[in-house]
Amino acid sequence: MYLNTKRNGFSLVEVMLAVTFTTVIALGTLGYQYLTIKHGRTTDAQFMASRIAQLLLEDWKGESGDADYDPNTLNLGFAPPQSGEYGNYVITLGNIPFFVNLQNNDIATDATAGITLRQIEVTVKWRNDFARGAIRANDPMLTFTTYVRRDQG
Amino acid sequence: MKTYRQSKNAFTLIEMIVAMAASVFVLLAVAILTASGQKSWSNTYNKNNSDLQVGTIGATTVLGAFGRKSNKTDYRIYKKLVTNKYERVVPETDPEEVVVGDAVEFRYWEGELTADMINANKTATSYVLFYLDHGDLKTDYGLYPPGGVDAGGNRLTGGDITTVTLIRGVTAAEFSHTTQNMAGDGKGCVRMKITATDPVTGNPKVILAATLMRNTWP
Repeated sequence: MYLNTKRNGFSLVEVMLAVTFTTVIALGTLGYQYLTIKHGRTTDAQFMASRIAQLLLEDWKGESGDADYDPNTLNLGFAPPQSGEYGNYVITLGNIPFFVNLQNNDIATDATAGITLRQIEVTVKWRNDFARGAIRANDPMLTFTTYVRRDQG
Repeated sequence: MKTYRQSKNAFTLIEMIVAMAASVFVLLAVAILTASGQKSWSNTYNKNNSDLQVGTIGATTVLGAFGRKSNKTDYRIYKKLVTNKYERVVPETDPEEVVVGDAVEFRYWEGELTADMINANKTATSYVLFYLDHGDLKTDYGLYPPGGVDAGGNRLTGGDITTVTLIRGVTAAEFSHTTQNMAGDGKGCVRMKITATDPVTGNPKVILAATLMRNTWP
């Protein structure tokens, strides 16, 4: 009697190995694509946030760091945030909502000369899913600070 | 009786076709994934190095650089009229008003220090005019006086005036500042809001920037 022991197909282990290998390659490529797009958008968001902060610092400095400075009046798209959202203002650029907080603090005063040195600070935060809503602990942010001399207090 | 060996030493045609079909399928899948990954990276690269992105960096840098060295007491924001003439923007009712125009002219000192620079009646030697022209954000550089716009509201061209295109594909350009009197003199910070079309996504892109003038003369 003749027994044909030659294999005519792949074993389950071979097939599973091949499937796993192909899946790892596919997942790696898809992950690469996802991260490329996400990092591109994150870079855009960082650029825009820094421009917003720089614009507000320059403009606020032009107003001598006035405590009543209000970006809502600038016709640039700043608006009050909704309840639960961060900061004093929100502006949407490139479909990304940026939440802005302005702070000022007098750090030195010369009463004789009538001069006050004021620190003005702009903090911009946005969600890492680029959506509207409350800022979470791991969401990105940046803060720009400068100083302005306020004569006559 | 003679016995013939039946074992196979080669693949059958069916096995070859199935194997080739399977290989082609896997290769195609890997090729598609690799190509789309490459395309995705390429899109990001093109976006970051597009004319719009480079132009944006150039425009914000130029605005910042010229604004900082310009004379805070002598700059103009203009509105472009339907007659193509430029008119200085002044507040309507409130001396401290946010006014918006289509062009801004900065005036600054350039060149070596001369006795002429202490002339209280001379506020600058050169000017740069930012304006929108047929979808391009441009700058004109020239001597001041006469500046970028004559008394009749015409933008000056030719002669020693150099024109540079900063951003193409611009759909709107707004320049604004907060005034401090009814004549239209500003507080020294000029804001720029540019809306342009992103060549990669086709979506509108808004560029915001501002510059604060530091120099005052006389």
